[in-house]
Amino acid sequence: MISKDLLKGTLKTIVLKLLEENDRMYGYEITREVERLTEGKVQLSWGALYPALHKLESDHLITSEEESIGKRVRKYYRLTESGTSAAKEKVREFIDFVTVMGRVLDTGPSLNLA
Amino acid sequence: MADLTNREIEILNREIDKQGLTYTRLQNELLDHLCCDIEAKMDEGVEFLKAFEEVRSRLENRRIQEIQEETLLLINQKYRMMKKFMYILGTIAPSLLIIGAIFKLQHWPGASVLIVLGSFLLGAVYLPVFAMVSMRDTRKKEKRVNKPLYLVGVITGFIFITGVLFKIMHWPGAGIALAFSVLLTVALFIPILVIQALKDKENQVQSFSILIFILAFMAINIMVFALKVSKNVMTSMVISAKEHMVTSSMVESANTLFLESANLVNQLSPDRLDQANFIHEKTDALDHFIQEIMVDILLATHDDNRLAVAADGSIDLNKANYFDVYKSTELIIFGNEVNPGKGEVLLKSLETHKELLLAHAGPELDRIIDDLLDTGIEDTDQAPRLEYSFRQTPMIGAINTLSNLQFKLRFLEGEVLKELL
Repeated sequence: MISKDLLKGTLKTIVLKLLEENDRMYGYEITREVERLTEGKVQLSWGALYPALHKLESDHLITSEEESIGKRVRKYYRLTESGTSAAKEKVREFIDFVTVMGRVLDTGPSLNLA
Repeated sequence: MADLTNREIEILNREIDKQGLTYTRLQNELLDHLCCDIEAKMDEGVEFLKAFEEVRSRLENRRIQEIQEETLLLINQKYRMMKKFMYILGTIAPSLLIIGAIFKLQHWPGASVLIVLGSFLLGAVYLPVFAMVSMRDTRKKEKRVNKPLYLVGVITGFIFITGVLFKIMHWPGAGIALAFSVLLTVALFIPILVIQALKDKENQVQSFSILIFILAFMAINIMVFALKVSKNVMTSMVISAKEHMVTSSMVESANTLFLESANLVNQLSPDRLDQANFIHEKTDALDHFIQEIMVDILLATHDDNRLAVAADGSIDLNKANYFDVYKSTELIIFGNEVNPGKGEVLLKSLETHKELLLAHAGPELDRIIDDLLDTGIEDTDQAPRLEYSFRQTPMIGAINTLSNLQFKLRFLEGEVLKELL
């Protein structure tokens, strides 16, 4: 398991990156996808995910559309134009960060992120 | 994939509803998430109720409300609106007050409405909104919010603005409100502010300037109160008007007595006696007319002033109030769309009376009559007599002028009577 503190700063990056790869996703789908990709090591709590999604939406990086599924409403998110470039920027920034941290913490050249 | 029945969804919805969410977009989303979660568990062969029990922990301890709060905080919806609202109000409220002050200065109608509205917006709306926005800003910087400071600040500010408003509008209770706001400032607000400044080193300059401004403002307030220029002028006019009323009634009694005794003495020429009685009668009529105008002005100033008017029409200024109100003087003297003013009639009657006195008095009295009853009709250099005596004149100014006129009439009556008889 990866600690919440470490995740806190990268949650937006993760969401943007996932939406860049998948046309549109809803909240539950995002948590499942993250779980799948990290083999269960990262579990997004809904308490962290939904505030982040709404924040991204209010910053116009993502848009949403609601779809009725029987008795309930499902809200899909997709990237906006500025969201797409923000996703690239965030990912690049994060890789830089990991590289630098790798150097600081001396994990050696084994780090392969490209 | 298992699909939840409508009934099952309804159960979940009710569970979320219990948490009291107000942000429906979030509520729908959380419901969907919960459904998906349970469906996934049911796919693994778990019963609905069992699966529901497993995810139920998420619904406990107000966690959903916390999510909503955090979401709203993050997206800043409320805050953004409040801030915009604050900027708009911050522009409107002082503008209303300034325009209202100009209106008041010019005695245009509507000044009171503008001032009351501006004060209300400033004290009851802007101040709390400003406190909320400011508290939110502090919290965003992850600093502790000094709630007592804001609470006391808003309450004190509100009471102060209310006091000023009441003072301007001549409503009762202004003094108490102002005194109370000063008390709150000295006893609570300043100590809290000083403690805050000592604790919070980062914003010390800011806190210090606020403190200095408050102290300077209080000093200015006290000075303004100490000057009380207008009030002293009012008081002197009240005294002077009272004196006019006393002396003119004394002269009136003396004149009446003199005339009565003259009527009893037979050797006087009946022609002169007739003239004297005629002048006395005319003076009485004019005196009453002026008295009527004064009563009208008093009553038009404020309803409470009816206490100052006796049944016989005499005025007791000790029981009157609202001496510095302007509008009543102009209303009675110059009239409005509905009622003609009494000023013109008064001026004409004075002119007639002057002619009457001049016709009956000897040449040695002519100058005194001319001087004392100067109606200024031929005077072109100055504004018409009525204008400079009664335009923009506070109530007591008009009462003073009119009671002085009564005295002069009685005095001249006496002089003419003495000459005739």
